[in-house]
Amino acid sequence: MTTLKKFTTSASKPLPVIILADVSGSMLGPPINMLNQAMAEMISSFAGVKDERAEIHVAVITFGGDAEVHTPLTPAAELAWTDMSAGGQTPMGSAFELARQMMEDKDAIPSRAFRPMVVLLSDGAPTDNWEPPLQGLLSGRAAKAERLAMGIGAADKAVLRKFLDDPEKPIFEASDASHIVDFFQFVTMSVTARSRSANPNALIPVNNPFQLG
Amino acid sequence: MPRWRGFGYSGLGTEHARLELPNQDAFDLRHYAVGDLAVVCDGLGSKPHSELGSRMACRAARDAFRYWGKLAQSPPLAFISLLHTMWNMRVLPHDPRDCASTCLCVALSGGRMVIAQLGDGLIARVRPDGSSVLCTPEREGFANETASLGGSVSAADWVLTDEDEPEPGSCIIAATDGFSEIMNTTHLTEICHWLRDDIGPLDTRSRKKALDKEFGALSNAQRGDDHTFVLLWRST
Repeated sequence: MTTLKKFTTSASKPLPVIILADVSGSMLGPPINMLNQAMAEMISSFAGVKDERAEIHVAVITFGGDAEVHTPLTPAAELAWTDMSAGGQTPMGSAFELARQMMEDKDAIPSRAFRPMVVLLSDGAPTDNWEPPLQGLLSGRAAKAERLAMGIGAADKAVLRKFLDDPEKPIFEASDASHIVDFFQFVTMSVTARSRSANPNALIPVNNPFQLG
Repeated sequence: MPRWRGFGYSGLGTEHARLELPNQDAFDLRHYAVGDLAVVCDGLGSKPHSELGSRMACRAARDAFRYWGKLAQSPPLAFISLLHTMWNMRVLPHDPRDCASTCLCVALSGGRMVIAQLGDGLIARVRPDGSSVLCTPEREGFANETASLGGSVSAADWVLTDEDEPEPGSCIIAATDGFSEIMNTTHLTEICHWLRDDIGPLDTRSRKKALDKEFGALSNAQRGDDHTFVLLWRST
């Protein structure tokens, strides 16, 4: 073995994907089941991505009753998925704050990591003081993340629009939970395309290929 | 009297070789009567004249240092002001935005060490007792986002430090991100001492050959980007 090899690390850089999942009471039944299925499939797909440049890491923050880190940021290949359960109100603002803290933490997401993707999925309206935490998420280091949002049924589109903070970006709207799997397939395609591109940091154009609604 | 010695190396990234692109990194190491200067620069791959930009950044640093080093206690800001001015002139007639490059300088003069870093990469120091210290803080953003000459930058985008010249027996390394991002910094001391003790004594040709072999033994992904460094050490 040559000498330099002993002093080097892997070339692959983390590509963080942070899911903000609404698991409030209105998600009980088929919606939470669909969401769990979609998450498991997405993580399984990410785990199968072999690329030396980017390693996909996944974190899941849930908000239903309380906001909490359901899955800390972990390489997808090492992640054993645990289903989420639904119940309680919709403290979306607290989830925004947890996401901001995660992205500002350089131990969790070092500066060599590619720009994170933050995915918000909700079927309702926030029940806490969400605007100051959202402002935090849209400033500083966290503001550089790419953001996607899916609104199901009676989701508060105005809040999702403010989360995206870009009039050009579409909200993925669906009349019911059956499209959750489609949406996460799109997220999977977007992230894996980024991980395999010449520059995994480059943001990809967002189009809605599933005709949700 | 203890003096600074050193050498630099730059290798073409495998991704650039595949795309038939030139090495967009550059380095320079100069020993003047007024002091010593080490520079490494990484031209931004997305810009059409980044190869020129990185080479001219090295020259602009040299231009700036020759004036700046003559005046005792010149402020570091004066060094980067001169550097910006000279770089903007040297890349003419091209638009500076098309020549964007990072720029990492170590200027040793009059018992001082001034470090000036704009953009990605690493400058670190190893003390005579073997402890190591990163001279510039980890930056704020994410991968492939870098401040650069030719970008929209102000003095606040530079990391500037001004401290006493390191004592005899110290090493300083400056590296572009093609090397710094694969470097396990927990081994910083071993890397610097290996380069100083095993590679440093070789003649220029043998040194290049040895380092080509060392980098060539890394994976394609590890050496995908151009990889460049300058090592300085102060004799005891």
